[in-house]
Amino acid sequence: MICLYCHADIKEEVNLITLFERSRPLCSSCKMSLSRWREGRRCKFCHRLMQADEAECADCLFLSAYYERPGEIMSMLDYHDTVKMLFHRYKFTKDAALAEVLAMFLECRFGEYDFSIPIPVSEVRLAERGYNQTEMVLDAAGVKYHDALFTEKVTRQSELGKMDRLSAKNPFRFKADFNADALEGMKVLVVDDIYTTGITVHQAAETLFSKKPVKIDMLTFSKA
Amino acid sequence: MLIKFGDGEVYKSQGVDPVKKICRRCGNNSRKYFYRYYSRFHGSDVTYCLKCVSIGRSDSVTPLTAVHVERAVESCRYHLDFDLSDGQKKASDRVVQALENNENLLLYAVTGAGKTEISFEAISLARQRGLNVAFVSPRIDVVKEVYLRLTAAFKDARIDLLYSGVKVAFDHRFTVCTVHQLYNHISHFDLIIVDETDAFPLPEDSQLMDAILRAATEKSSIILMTATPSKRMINFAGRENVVTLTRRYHGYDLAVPEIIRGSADRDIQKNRLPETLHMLIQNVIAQNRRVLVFVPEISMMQQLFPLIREKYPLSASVYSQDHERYLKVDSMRGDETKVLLTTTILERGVTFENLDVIVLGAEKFNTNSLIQICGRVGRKVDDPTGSIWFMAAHHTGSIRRTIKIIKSFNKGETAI
Ligand SMILES: [Zn+2]
Ligand SMILES: [Zn+2]
Ligand SMILES: [Zn+2]
Repeated sequence: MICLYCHADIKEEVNLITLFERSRPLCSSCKMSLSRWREGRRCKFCHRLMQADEAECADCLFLSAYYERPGEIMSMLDYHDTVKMLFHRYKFTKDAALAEVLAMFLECRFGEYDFSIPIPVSEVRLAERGYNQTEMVLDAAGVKYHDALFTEKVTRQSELGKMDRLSAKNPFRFKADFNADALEGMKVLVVDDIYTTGITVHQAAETLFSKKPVKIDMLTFSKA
Repeated sequence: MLIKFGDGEVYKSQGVDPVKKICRRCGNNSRKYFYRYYSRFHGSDVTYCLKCVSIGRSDSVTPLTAVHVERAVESCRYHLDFDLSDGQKKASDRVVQALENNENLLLYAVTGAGKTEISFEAISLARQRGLNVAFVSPRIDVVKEVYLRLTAAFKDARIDLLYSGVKVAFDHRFTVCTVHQLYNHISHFDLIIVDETDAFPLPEDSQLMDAILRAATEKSSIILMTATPSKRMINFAGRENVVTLTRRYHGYDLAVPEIIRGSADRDIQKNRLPETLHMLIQNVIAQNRRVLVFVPEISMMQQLFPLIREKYPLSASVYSQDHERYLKVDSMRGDETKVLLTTTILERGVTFENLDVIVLGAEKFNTNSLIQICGRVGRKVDDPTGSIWFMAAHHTGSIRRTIKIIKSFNKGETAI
C-alpha cells in the first residue's frame, strides 16, 4: 500500500489498535503536515488568519452586509502550501485518489442535518475534470447528500474580483428534480471544497434560504 | 494531456492500458502506482497512473495526443558578469564540441565549479541554429535556481519553466524543468543538459532515464553533469567523453571533513543536547559564522530541535514537506537564523555565506550525499573555505570514499 499524497510505501504496523482499523491511504508524516494549522490570531467565525490591526474580520463584515449569516462555518484543513498542493493536484491534474485523503479529515456530525448539499460545478468544469470535487469526497467518506443545486457559472472565480462577483447575479438554482419546498423548517449543511472569500457558499446559501430552512451551516474542506 | 511528438495528432489511444497496467507516457508498470475508481461522469471505471500524475493525468479514458512545434531560430545572446576560469572555458569548449558532433558528454565537476555557466555557450549556439534546448534536473530547488540564473544571463530569450504545480510555458524550444516533465516530450530536444544527474530519484529510476532518451531527438547531445558519476553515467557518455573540472571557480581547495567518533543517538533519545555537538555549534557562533546541521532522519530532527532551540534561539529546522522551507532557508541568509537543522533536502542547490557544516550520524549517509553536503562550504570568493565535521558512530566506506574523492580533487585528480 502506498501513501496517496507522497506515494511512499506505507509500512503497516500490525498491533491491537491497527488490527481493527480500516487501513488508511496516508502516511503518518503526510498526515502530520496536512493537519497542521498556521499560528496566528484567527476569526472565530470563518477561521481566517487576521492582520495584527484587524479588530473585526473584514471578510465576515463584508459578507454580513450582503448575505444572511449562516449558523456556523466549519473548516477541516488550513490552506498552507502542503494543502494547496493537494488541491492543485486534486482539481487541476485530476488526481482523483486524493478524494480518499480528504475524506479522512472529514469530521462532521452529518446526522444532525436533514440535508447535506454540496456546491455544484458547471457542466464545462465537470467535462474538464470528470468529477465534482466536493461530491467525490463525500462519496469516499460514505456520506449521504442531496444533489440539489446547479450552476451555469463558468468563469473561474479566481479571475473575478469581489465586486464583480457580487454584482453578477446569483449563479445557483434548484435542480428541477429536487423538491426544494422540502427544505422548509429543516436543518441544512452546505459543503464546499475551499473557502476563500466565502461568496460562493453564501450565494448557494442565499438560494437555499429562500425555502425557509431553520438553519444553514457551512462545511469547507479548507480555509484559504 | 499533450505530448509533444512529431506531426501526429494522437500518439496512443489511451494513456494507460488498464488491463496490462502500463502507462504509455512514463512507462510505469508497477501495480501499486495505478489508481482505479468508478467515474459517474464516464459511466465506467477509470484507471490512471500515479507515477506521473503531477504533470497532468495519464489515464485509461483519454488518448495521449501530440502537438507539433515548429523549430525556430532565436538570437539567444547571453551576458555574464564575470569571466570564465580557464578550467570552465575548456569545459565549455568541450560542451560546444559535443553539440557540433551530436555526442553525449559527462561533465564531472567538483561542487562549486560553476557548472551551469559552462553550458551557456552551447545553449546559445544551439538556439541560434534553431535547435530545441532543455535544461533539466531531478530536484525542484535546482530547477528554480538554474531558471533564475538562465533568465538573468539570457535576457531576451523565452525560457519555459516547468515543475510540479508551476508552468511558465512559451513554445518548448528552451525549457528548464524537472526530469519528470520530459514525459510530455518525444523526439523533441536537440540539446539536453542534465544537472545533478546523481540526485535522487534519477539513478534509481530507469523510467526517468528512459524519459530523457525519449525526449531527445535522434541527433541530439545529452550533457550529464555531476560531482559523483556512476559507472552507468560514464558508460553512457563513453570514457573519452568525460570532462573533468577539479577546481572550484574561485581556485581554492575544497574543505576536507574532520571526523569525530561517537554517536549522538543516546543523548538525543534521553532529551539531552550531545556535548560535542553543543561545543561545535558554540564554536561556530563565537566566530560569527553559521552552521547547517545535517540529520539522518526527520524523527531525530524533531527530537533534537527543541534541545538546540533552548540554547540557540536563532535556530530553525527544515525537511522536504516543510511548507515554510523557503522562508527558513531565506532566514539563514539573513541574521534571523544561525543554526539550521536539515535533512538531505538541503544537500544541494543552496549557498550560504560564512557557513560551516556538521553531519550527525554521518555513517548513515551515502557518498553522493556527503560530497554534496561538503560542497555547501566555501562557495563564495569572500568565504572560500570553512569547517566540516562528520560525527559518526563508526567509519564507513562512504565516509572513506568521500574524503578520498575530496583530497584527490584538491590534488587535481579525479577518482575515475
Ligand atoms: Zn505520505
Ligand atoms: Zn471571518
Ligand atoms: Zn505514468
